[in-house]
Amino acid sequence: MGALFRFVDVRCAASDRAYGFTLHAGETRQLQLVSRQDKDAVLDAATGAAVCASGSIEIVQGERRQRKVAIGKLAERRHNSGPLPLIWQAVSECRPGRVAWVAADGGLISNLRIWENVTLPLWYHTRRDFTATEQSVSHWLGVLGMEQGEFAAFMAAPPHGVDPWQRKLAGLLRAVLQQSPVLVVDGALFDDVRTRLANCWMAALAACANEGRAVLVISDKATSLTWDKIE
Amino acid sequence: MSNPLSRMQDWLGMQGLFVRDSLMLFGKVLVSLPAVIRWPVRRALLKQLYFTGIESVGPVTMMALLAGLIVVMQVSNLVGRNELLTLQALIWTMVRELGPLLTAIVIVGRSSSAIASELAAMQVNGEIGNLRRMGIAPVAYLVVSRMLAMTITSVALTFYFQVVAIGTGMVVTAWHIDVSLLGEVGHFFEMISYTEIFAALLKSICFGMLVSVLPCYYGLSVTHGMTDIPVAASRAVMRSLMAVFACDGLITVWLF
Repeated sequence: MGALFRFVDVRCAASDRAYGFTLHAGETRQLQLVSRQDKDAVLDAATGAAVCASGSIEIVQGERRQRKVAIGKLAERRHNSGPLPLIWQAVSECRPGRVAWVAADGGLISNLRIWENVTLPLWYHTRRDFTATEQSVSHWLGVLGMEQGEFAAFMAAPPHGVDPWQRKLAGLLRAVLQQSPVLVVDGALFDDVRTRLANCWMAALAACANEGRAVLVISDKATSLTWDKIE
Repeated sequence: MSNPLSRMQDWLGMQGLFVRDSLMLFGKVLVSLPAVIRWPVRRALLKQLYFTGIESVGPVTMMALLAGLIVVMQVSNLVGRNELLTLQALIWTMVRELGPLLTAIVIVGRSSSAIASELAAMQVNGEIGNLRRMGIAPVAYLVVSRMLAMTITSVALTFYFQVVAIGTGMVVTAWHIDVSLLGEVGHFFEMISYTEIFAALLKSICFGMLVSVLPCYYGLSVTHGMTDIPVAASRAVMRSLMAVFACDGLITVWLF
């Protein structure tokens, strides 16, 4: 199994603990952190949205490393350039489209319909292929436990017009559609969700891993997941 | 309590930071322009074109009709039955000044406050952070589409405003002074110069950029809670208007 995602001595400002591990293709693992602040910091670092206090996160494809970001150095450079709002800083160039993220609440954009939300990262990072995407959406919605008769109404609805679990489902669908080698999942996704549905989603994530991707669940409390924990 | 000099110093410092940050955002938008080839950015651009452009046609038409009528009536009262002078005044006011300026004011009123509130709400709700986690640069996705749409809209609506206002002015002049409408059209093309067309085009492009980048700046700068959203919208409108007038003054001084 080839290595896909590597944390090298990643340290968050919130705690002194350093994290170092490698995820391989086909792996589903969970990382339990000590606080929500740490969880958010690691999620940001893993998705390339922000930087950690020190260490590095590498995307590795087989034996060939794609690009490496010396996060400590980046943090120092940004610190020295003055207090710029985070939104103006470039998203880390090493990861766009290569790490898919599943938010605890779906992480949807409120002024886009569910269909637009679901296809946003996919069509932003890759070329638009409407037919293939539609087939893929239909397939994954079934896998994620939605009745076929509900597809059209669900896709046409705005995020505020659907139930919280449906928003979570849309976030999960968005990530699995992206075909990125690594999926980073917020462990709180499975909170307040019916057991049958949660099992369905875990099975879908396992199916993603079986396609040669790696799935990492990051949480700040114990979960019902039976996947290997990263110590 | 600080003394007036110190407060003045603070205020000037804040203005300096505002100008610096706005210019940085503008630079970042220019660098991110190639993102427009991505489908979600194009879709956002089309939505903005519809909202800012198509939905503004009604108010712009009404303003242009009234502006053409008012200018011609006032100039006729001043210069009497002088067709050429009335037409010249119409060109001066509509092509050089009122066309770009009133169009920009309509866009500021309709779209700038909406953009600032929308982006501020996205910021407060954590949606900007969500975009970053999806590897989508907020400036490329949100600001590029808005700036392009508003600049294109500004140019198109300015041209439309000028055609409607000048057309109305000519019809009113023809009716009021009893001259040939076709003769007026002929005189119009003899009188208008390339400098005037260039000034109108330059102004509409600059205004379009200003009234889009500044609301985006205020919207994205919100960091606190919901109460900051109306403040951002109000500041975006006021600053956009001031920037439009300042830019108008600079271009007018430079060209005429």
